[in-house]
Amino acid sequence: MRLRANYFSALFVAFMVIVTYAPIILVAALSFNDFPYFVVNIRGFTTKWYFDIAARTDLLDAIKISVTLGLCTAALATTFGAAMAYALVRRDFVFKKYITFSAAIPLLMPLLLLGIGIQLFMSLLGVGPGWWPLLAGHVLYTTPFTLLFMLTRILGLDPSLEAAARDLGANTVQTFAWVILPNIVWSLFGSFMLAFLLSFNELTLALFLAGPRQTLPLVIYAMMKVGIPPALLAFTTLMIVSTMLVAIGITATLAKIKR
Amino acid sequence: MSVTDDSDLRLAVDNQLKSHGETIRLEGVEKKYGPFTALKKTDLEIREGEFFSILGPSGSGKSTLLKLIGGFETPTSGSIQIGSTDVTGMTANKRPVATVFQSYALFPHLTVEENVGFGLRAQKVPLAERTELVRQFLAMVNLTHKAETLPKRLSGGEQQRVALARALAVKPRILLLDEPLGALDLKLREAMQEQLRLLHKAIGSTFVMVTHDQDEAMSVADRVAVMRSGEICEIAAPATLYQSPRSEFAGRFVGAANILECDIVAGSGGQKSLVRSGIKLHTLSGPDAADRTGRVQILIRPENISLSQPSGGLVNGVVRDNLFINGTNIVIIDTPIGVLRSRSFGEGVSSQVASGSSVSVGWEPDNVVVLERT
Amino acid sequence: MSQTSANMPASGGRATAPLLFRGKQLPPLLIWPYIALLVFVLFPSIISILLFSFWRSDFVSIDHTFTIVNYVDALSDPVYLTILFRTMIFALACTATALTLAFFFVVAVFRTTNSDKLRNIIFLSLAVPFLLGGLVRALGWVGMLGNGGLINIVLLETGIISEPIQWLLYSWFSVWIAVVYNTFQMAMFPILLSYTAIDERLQDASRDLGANGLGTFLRVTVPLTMPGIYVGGVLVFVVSVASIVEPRILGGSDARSVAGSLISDAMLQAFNYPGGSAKAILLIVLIVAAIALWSLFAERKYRVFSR
Repeated sequence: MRLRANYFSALFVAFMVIVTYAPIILVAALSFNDFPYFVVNIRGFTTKWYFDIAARTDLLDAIKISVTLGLCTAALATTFGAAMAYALVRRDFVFKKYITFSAAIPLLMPLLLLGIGIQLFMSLLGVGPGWWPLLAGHVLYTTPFTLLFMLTRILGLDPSLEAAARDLGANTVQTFAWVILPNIVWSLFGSFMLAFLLSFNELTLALFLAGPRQTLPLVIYAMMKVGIPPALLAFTTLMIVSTMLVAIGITATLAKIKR
Repeated sequence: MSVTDDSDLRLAVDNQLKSHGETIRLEGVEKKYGPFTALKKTDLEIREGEFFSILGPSGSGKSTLLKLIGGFETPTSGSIQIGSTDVTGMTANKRPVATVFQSYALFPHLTVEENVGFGLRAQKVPLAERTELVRQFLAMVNLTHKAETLPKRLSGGEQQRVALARALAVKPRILLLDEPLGALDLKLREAMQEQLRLLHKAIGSTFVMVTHDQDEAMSVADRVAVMRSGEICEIAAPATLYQSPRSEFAGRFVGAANILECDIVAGSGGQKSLVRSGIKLHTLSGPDAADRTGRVQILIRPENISLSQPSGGLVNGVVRDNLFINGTNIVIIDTPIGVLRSRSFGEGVSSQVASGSSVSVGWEPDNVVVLERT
Repeated sequence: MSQTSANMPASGGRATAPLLFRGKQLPPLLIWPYIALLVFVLFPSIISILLFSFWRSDFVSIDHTFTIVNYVDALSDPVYLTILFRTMIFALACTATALTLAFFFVVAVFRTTNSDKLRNIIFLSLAVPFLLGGLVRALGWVGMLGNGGLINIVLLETGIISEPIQWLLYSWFSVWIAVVYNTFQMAMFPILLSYTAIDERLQDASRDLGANGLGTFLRVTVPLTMPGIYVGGVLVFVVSVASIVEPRILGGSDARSVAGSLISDAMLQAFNYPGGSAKAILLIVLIVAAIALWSLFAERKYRVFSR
């Protein structure tokens, strides 16, 4: 009975893994296919679609915007997430529960509604969609993730270390820089990469909040509405590969933290 | 004392490393956490340069008291003074206090010498001076050879010495020790107790040690405060505390005790006698006797109980058990006035009586302590 | 051993005589910027949706007089109601699928191997595509499900079918697949957390008392994993009911209209902010109602909250 169950389970697991990676591998495979349509019609190996990308300035411009946005979002989200995690673990303060709940709202709230909300609020203020509203939206969206990430690490941080530092005469800045920071550096790193990826690949909020400077997902989305050019496949494959690399980076930092 | 690498402590103190202590004064200090009172209104004075121990079971408030002195908690009411300065509102980093934590709290990402030099670095001591001081303190605890090691590679005893060096490196007026020897094995603990005492004499600051182990407290301290349920029960020098405790709790806590409830009966000629279970024990004399009437509790230490056969004592009883522990005989006797425990060395009646035999139990009236009503 | 000694202050010896507000300290300076973001952006945004739903607008200006006409319009529009209904059913289907798949997947991984390391690798490897974002993943499914897509080509080549299956793509089916694919992680992680927290001995005890494999499973494993299933269900439902990207890309003419796309069209194309807001509020109401029912179920049947 046990053995049969195990084979069945293993089969199911394999199935799920295959199904998970199939669409991605398909995109990557077809990006080398010498056929200008997104169908399984194997004609031959080519890398020409990749060179097409260089011509698509819309994509290249969008990358710059998405990267910048991603870096800013990640910086803010990591800072806020770490600060919030520290405050939650080490301090007790008024309204703690309400603040925690509010921090979690973007997790529970569909991005659609968050996007509309910010757009409407901005319109009330007389501000149109643009860089700042989108940044705000992305930070609100990604901070719960960084918060969770940092929370796990800070819970494992020995509070007596900070007490010892203060006891020996260190002020707040010194305690943070010499005792806390060195011990959370890897988690900060992982948080940063996570937030960056989330922001980089985010579409829904961008639909409502991005102004004239279009992010990468927006450009791709617009492209897809018309048809799927093979250059897009090539580009997407590059995105997949880079995301995978960053993901491996995050996993590596997770492993480092555990040590 | 066996000498292994670990217990080879030889804390060698240079005069340069001397500090001087301060008095600590608590007035009306109370600490509450919401509805829960961890420390009831307390007045306490710890003298300059003394080795003071705070002894008590879990939940007695001893750790709270330590945290208040160290500045890790602020009192709900009352004031704390160190020397002539009111430190009640002062943060931990500004107080002239350093702590050796129970878990040592060594910075895991810093080497031994970086750990020891941490306080000096925080206080912006210039590099040259800092390096020299670190070197001296490491030499003091005999860990010069481990200067560049990380804490996780040290043994418990070594970590403890680093914690000690780190705390002393900032030349605190007051050194707080939170159950410092708890994690060490017996031999090491005994060795460290002696070294702590020597260290204290050499350095000269005020040491305040919190512990639940009465042997530890009694062996190192100049004075001991026994705590219970958030308040200080009694403060006295170890010898006094042992021989003449004032409260039952303290009496029981610092060592084995025979505690009997007796009536004081006035006899002829104005004499007062102690009577229990209808048996007259002996007269009560001295300062204890003066104002006492009615019921009292008396305490007699097992060492002061003598056994004789077949008679000759104050009361006769039957031996329940005879144990040989740590080189002494512990004899437990059932008597009409209760179960008594005696303790003695060497040859004598105690080493000979077996369970079931009859024996006569007695003690010197001078060795009786009359406890106060709690 | 004294508990309190071992936990030298959690606060690391902070501020003196702190300012108290209702008996507790104020939130530390550290998090004020974030609180500011929450208070000055998040809250007003949510309130704005509510406000706009009670106003009217044309292309030029906004009429701020309070009116419920937007709600009336929406609720009396049969097309809207149909779409809303369809979206709810769709979301429920996605949630059910995602939860079932996630749950059995977690169980299967645990049965496949006893090595923690291998288990973690499997779970992480499934999480990685999550980071790619819905768009890339939707793109992948276009390639999988189309007439010239992988599934059809494989079936054609092996002779199982003679003509490509049309409804694989640009239908409710493809949207369903894509949404489940995209939300799988949200269901898997909470379930995984709950599942790993189950003490194995409880399952042994159950068997010891006479229950067979299935019985143990239904009476012990499922209820104990319920908190994770509950959280996963909430997360998946909320995302699937408000999805707009997958329906747009994979829905074709059948399935492109969901509650979410009506709202986004109102906002981005018709510039009918009040109309869109009202529909958004209605959606929120429905979501809250659904979550309330789900919570009731979880609590009544599995006591998820009283643990």
